[in-house]
Amino acid sequence: MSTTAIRTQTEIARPVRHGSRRAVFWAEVIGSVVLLALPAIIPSAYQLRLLQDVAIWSILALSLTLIFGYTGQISLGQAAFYAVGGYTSAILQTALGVPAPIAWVVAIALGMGSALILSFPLLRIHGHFLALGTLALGLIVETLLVQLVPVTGGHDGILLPGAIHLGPWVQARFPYIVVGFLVLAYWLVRNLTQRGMGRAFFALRDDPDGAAALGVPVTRYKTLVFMIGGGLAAAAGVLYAHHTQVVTPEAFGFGTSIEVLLIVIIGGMSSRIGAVIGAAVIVFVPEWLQFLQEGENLVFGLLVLGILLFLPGGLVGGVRSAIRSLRRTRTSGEEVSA
Amino acid sequence: MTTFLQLAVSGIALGSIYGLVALGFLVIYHATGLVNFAQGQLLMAGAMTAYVLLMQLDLGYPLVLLGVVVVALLLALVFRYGIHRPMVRRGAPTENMVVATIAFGLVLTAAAELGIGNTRYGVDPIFPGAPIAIGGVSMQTQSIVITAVAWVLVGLVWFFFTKTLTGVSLRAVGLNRTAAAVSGVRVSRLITVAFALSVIVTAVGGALVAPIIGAGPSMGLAIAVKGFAAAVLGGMSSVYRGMVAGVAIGLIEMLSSYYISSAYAPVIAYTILFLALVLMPARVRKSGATA
Amino acid sequence: MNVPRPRRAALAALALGSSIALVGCATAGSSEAQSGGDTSSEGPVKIGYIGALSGGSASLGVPIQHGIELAIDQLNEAGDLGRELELVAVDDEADATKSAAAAQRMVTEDGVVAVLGGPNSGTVLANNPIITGAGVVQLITVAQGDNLIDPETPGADLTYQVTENNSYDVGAIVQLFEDGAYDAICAVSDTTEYGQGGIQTIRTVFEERGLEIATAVSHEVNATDLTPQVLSLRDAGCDAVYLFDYGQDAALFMKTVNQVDWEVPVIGGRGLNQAAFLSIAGEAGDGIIFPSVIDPEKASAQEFIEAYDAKFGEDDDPAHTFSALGYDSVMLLAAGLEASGFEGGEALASALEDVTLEDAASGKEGSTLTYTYGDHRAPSDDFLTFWTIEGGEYQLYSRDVQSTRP
Repeated sequence: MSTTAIRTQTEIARPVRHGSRRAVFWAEVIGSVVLLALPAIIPSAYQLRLLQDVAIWSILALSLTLIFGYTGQISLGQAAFYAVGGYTSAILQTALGVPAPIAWVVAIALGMGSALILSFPLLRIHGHFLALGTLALGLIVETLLVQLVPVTGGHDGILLPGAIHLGPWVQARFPYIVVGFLVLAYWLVRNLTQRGMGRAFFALRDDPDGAAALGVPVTRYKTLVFMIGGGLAAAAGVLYAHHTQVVTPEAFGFGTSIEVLLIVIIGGMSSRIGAVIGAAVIVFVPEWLQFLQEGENLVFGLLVLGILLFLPGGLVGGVRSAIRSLRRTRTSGEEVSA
Repeated sequence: MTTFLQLAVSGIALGSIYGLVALGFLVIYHATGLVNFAQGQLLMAGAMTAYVLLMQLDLGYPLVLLGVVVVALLLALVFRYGIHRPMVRRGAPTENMVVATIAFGLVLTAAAELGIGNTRYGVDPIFPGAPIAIGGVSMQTQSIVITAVAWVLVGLVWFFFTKTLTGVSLRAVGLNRTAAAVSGVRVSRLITVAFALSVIVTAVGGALVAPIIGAGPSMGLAIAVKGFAAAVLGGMSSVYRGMVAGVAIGLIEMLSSYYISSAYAPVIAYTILFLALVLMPARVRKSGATA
Repeated sequence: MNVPRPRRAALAALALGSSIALVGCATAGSSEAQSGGDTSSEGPVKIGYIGALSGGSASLGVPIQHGIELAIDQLNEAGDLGRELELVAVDDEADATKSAAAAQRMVTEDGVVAVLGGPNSGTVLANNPIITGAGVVQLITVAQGDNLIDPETPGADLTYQVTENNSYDVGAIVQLFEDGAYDAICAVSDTTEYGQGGIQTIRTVFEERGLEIATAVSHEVNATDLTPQVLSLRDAGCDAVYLFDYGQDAALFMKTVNQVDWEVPVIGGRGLNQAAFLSIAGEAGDGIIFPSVIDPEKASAQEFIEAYDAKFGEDDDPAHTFSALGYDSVMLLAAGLEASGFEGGEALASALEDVTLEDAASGKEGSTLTYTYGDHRAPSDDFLTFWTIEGGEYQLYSRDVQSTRP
């Protein structure tokens, strides 16, 4: 009970009212089902590709939402775990001939393991220091990807032709695997952040000392979240490697870490659906803006600024407050008529 | 020995630029608690302005520097009144503001690419002429200018923060905004002063470094990351400590690159940063994080 | 609180979802790639170009695009082809993911007949499987990686390289090092795919010729200070330097060499053709020698340079290497399209295998750009010229360059 008191500090984190919780649940179920069916519905290979881009960014963004949005630990090096996943899977499959499913499991486990090990030094620091520490981590990994040529192929990267490593049958159905992973990741984050544990997360984000005093195992939870976040990022990396069929250091660099942060904030921090919406924005909007040619980047930057300026809770926050005000006007209208 | 001295001299000049960027970071950070990720792009804006005024419009250096300051001031006003203040008024969380600075940086880069061009452009140095050599250790005249100007600027900013009423009030705003407002400090205007100061310092840094590495839209990131690192290594507290940390990073970069491995020099620099962060005494970390 | 237990809920959702997915798999799981690109006989023929038009690599990507635009304008004006060409250019920011998405859009949405690839080997590696996987021809304009045409990959039949690869360049430059009879040749490169690929090739080629690299140093791209690199090489006793960098870093290297007053012959890679090198290095670049594809005594090159400078200005691409390669890519493609009757895919690929360009903008007088069956690298022997910088201007160093196809 007492943890709820702490949570209410942050307005965006406010969970939906109990009455609409059920509606949200069913919306999530239906959304998941629609998502899983999308690859069958989308006729164009290009749209299908964008769908996979969105799904992979979403998983990566969910990993950051979990770490940052729900427990307040900022990470500017999420691309490091993304790289661990992508490269481990690619190296195992190409150099050692490990079958894809085993390589995936190992890669994700390694992502979790490295996050676990790194959590010991990293979780000792907070705020801007944590931001910088994770940033340094990301830059170290990026440089190593370039320099460890015998292992990572340096800047040439590693080719991972789908037809060879997945087989043509699986390759043709790979979009289902990608959206399947997204649905799994979504429900994982959902279940982790609901009920007691989720409340504990918010508590340790908003007031870690208070949470500790109330008996929340702060360090253990933070480590757990960091580890699961690392695993999710690694899973995204695994999918990315098969999706582009090549891993190169640029894809796992500083720019990627920043882009994930952008996704999380645009969509709405501490909102799992926000991660998906943010990813969709970052993939689709530049596509729509392509007719602007050279002006594209400028307009995109201004658009992002606009969202940040006018929707402090991100897109999801904007929609939520719109719904709230709608509801308010409706109920007040009913009162008048009654 | 000359090699060591040569590396040290280069490291100090390079580190002074990092220190200048750190200075820019810290001025805004102290006044508002905001970490400005557009620092690298503001540096770029200074360099590109210098390029346009000096190389395209053929103005002399006094006018060029004046122009850089004016452009920096305009950018600071846009930053403050177009982005920062509206967000504060809407009660945007800190994270959103951090990301807004990233977006501001994206816009600056895109605008520079669109308006000026997207390659690297050479910029003439302030004092043309041969490098100066003393006992086998040489320096480009521009590097001497950079080092001198950087330290003078740090000195001025330090003086401003500790000896002038405006500066002291500004620090008060950073420490406790409400208390400052209660004691009659005009908070909003002071924050604007901090933005202007920060952007001007950073843009001048860009104009100074352009004659060495050229001016181009994507030049800022590497310098900004190390400038940020310098600010943190300096404990996020005082401006001169950021400067000293900047020089330390410059020296480490030069020396490790020569004596250990040029390929792994960045890894070494980032690893030292990483270790410094996690091994830093908790006291410093706490005070810095909440400053 | 009548909320279902999350675990049960998740299971329910998953069961539902996966069953739908299975149904989906069975019905419409494999979206077959359409092949061949645009074959309609009406309207302009679309050609794609994917390159870095913003960000750090734009100084390569933009001149290439300008060269392409010039070629298309000239062809359309002359009207000899019988059909108009139309350019669809997409900026991939040198990002592999964006490059792959752009490739997918071009082949399935825009219906391009062929795609011209950009300056970066990494992005070409990412977009090539998609382009060729859809049965569309790709011409790689400027990227030089030795691994870009790999007969083992499924798309090799549809992939063509317009420019010489690293081995070709290094093979030609080696003769300068041999002529100098140096004792300790050293190399410097950045850590990008351009620099690292270059170093790898240099080592291989040197070994074949019985030379060796005494010391090699590297640095991050867009470096802010190269003093340690310069001093490392100087103190190692190098008496010749192979500088394999992009323009801005090469300029910084030369300025530092000047600053520490080190007299050493420097021979560079193709990145020195970037406008940024001359702009930043100024006279510090004097005396450096590097390979180019421009022969000022060749009539077609002169015409190209004149037309290019008239359209985009003299400072847009002063060395004209990258724009010339973009220009020739279109000329090669147009010749192929004419022969295939504007049909893409296999038809275009086999038509290209009979294409020879004798009056290309790039290449030394007497050289050709030629594709043959099983050989998809265009430059013939003796394609290169050597250039230098004198008084802060590009100058021809030597036309007497022997270069052989690796």
